Amino acid sequence: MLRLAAVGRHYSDHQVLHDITLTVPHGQLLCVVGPSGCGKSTLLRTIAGLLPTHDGTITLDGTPVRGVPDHLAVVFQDHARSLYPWLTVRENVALPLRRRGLPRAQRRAEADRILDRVGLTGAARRHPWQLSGGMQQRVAIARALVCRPSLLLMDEPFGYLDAQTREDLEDLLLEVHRTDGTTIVLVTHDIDESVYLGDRVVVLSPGPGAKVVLDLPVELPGARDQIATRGLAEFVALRSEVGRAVRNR
Amino acid sequence: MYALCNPVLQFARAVPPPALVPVFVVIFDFGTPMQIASIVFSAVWPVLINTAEGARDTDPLRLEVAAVLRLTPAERLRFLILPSALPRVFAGLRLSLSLSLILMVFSELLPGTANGIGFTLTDAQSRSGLLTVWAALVLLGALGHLLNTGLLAVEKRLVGRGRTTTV
Repeated sequence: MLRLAAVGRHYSDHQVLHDITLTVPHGQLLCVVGPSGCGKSTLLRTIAGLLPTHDGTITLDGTPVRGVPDHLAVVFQDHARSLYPWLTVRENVALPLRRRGLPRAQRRAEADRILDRVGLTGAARRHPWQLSGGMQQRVAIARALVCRPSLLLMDEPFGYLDAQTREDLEDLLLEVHRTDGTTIVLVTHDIDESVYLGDRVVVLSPGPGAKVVLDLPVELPGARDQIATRGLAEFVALRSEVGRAVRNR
Repeated sequence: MYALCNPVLQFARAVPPPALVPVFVVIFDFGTPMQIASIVFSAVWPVLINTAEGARDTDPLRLEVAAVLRLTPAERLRFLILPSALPRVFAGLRLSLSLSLILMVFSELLPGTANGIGFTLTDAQSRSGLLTVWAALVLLGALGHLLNTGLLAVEKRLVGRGRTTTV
């Protein structure tokens, strides 16, 4: 369980985050939405322990977050920069496994297993720059999943992808979430995406000093499906509600 | 650390290497040790400064990735900082290579040497042996070209294709 208590962050006297209190129960997929530049990415980096909190506390499973916690993985928006281009796809994915002290053969096997799962069978020996953007982001997701994180943070993970690839990866993420029950916090500026993916949507106010303006559970009937779900009356209603909160109307 | 070392590095680099040859003559006396010392001293700076710049230019997002993956400092050096500095290291090496050739010839022009291309060159010049002068020049050109080709081949192997070089 991830718990944020009155978290604030500022650069000199410029307030970026203000009094953010949130509890994310185990296994929830939480989408954080907000206008550009409101501090969504800052919030995510603070949860990841990459930035220190200035006010309040963040606890993950009861332990205060200081520095990057164990069992945490992050997927960044810019797949081209987040992967290491001098390593092959398999080496990129196997990189976090070194920490666990597994022998080389086992690291390889583990990496190949996760690559199969994200639909990249056969790409293991290629380099990231030989793959399309969507495939690169699959590699980044595989690298995040390989250590079986208990908390997965995603910063606009599909922001640089075309619509079709984006839908494929959204469904991949839902499948991963359903089978593994990983707690996921996903930051996006796309209202449709947040309602389609999330069990719950949190809207941040425009900065400076972003705070939570809407905290909405998403209950949609049936399994999520790109065509059917987006046509549901419940989906449209939720989307409008989130949209109004984002535009502050 | 960088702010502390940089002015010293820049100063040491700004001194034209040939100007330091007399200093090395005083320290080592004439002969091979003096020649090697002046070559080493001039070759070290471009590599050192380019390597430092290359390491400093490591993509901040990739550093965050390293932090999230909790790479140890040794792993971070091996999998991130060295590979991303490599193109700059080679840019430095190429500069050093040409500087080394200049210094090699220049240090052989001084008294106390009895062989070497530089010595042959001045010796032939004073005897008006034009053919030998031209031969020495051609030899120097061929040597420089050969060394550069070798270095490029090594660079191609290590840095690999498709890598975006930001030099």
